[in-house]
Amino acid sequence: MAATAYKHVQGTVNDPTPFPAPNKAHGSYHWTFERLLSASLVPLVGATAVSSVNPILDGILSVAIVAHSHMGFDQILIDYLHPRNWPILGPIAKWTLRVVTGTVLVGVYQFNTNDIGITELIKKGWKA
Amino acid sequence: MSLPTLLSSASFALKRTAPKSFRTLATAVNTPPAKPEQIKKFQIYRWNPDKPAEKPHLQTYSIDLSKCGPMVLDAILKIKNELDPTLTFRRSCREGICGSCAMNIDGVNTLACLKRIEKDEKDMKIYPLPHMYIIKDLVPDMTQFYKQYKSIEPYLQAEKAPEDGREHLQSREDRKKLDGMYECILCACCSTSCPSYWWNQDEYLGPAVLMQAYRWIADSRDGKTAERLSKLQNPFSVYRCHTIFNCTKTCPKGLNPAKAIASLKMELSQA
Repeated sequence: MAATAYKHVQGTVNDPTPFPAPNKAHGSYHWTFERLLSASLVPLVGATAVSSVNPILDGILSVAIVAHSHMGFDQILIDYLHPRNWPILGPIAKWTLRVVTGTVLVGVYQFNTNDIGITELIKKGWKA
Repeated sequence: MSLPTLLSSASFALKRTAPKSFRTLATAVNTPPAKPEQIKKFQIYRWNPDKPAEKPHLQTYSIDLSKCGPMVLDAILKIKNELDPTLTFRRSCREGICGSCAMNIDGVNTLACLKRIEKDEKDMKIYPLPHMYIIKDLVPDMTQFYKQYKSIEPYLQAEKAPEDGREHLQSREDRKKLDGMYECILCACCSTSCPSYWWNQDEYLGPAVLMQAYRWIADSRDGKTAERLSKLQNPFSVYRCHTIFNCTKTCPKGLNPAKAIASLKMELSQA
């Protein structure tokens, strides 16, 4: 068997597959944070409808939405462009996402402090 | 009545009742009228490792359904027996308990022995389980799947010896937690229907193995729950599951691997 071992199988056919090193930050903590963040967006969006337009709520909502989409895109990259399969494209994609997220955060901060803020922007564009 | 008449009437009675119930081969002419011929075409994935330069292709076989059993497995057995002995597939129990004949039939992973032949005009398309390395025709290489199953240590690891020295007892409620998980036959229909398993088969365990991982975590008699959970604390083993639910939709045994994975994630969060 050893001589004709399949290329896609690590070790012999009788070895169990290995696990990556356990790390809660990349395991359950990460997943739980993602879920809590997603769930918190619901009351957060509701709060903007109830309260008057204010920069603090704008700031919290902006950071939550940007973090939520960053983690979502990150999941896509882990699924399809993980560095173990994509040694060059993987890191490029990862850092592109980080730069984009950072730029968006700066831009949204500027918009919230120097302009009308995102809540007001959506209210202006929302024609039911 | 005299004795001779009694005897003769007795033998007469025997003659009247006995003969009709016997039927020799020679008298078996009263066969039911032949069913009308019903031709169904099967397009089956063929690939021969002895001719690796030849690309995989679909080969079409015509079967008269009036002379064939009701299940897809009956049809492919008939093809192998009567039309083409080179057609290769796995099968064993023909009643949905061994999991050998898992294949993709009309776009759905299922067991050929539990899948009825549709009585319509459309051709039936049969492929091996999707996104697996193929050994020949409908036979996928299950090595990685079995290695992953081995990695979750699918056996009881009790902390202390049973109190009565004979068996580990558990309450009816605890036993009930295993229902819907212990019935899994590891046919791999669910795992190979999962897009996450297609892309990340090397690291992601897949629904079938994860349900068995949870089956041992949920077992009240097992003492290694913390260790079992700790091994799964990484981005890949469990968390490539994005709740797509193909696993539950396709399971030929009607089990719910997605629910087991959800419970597993809950358990991991609280550990």
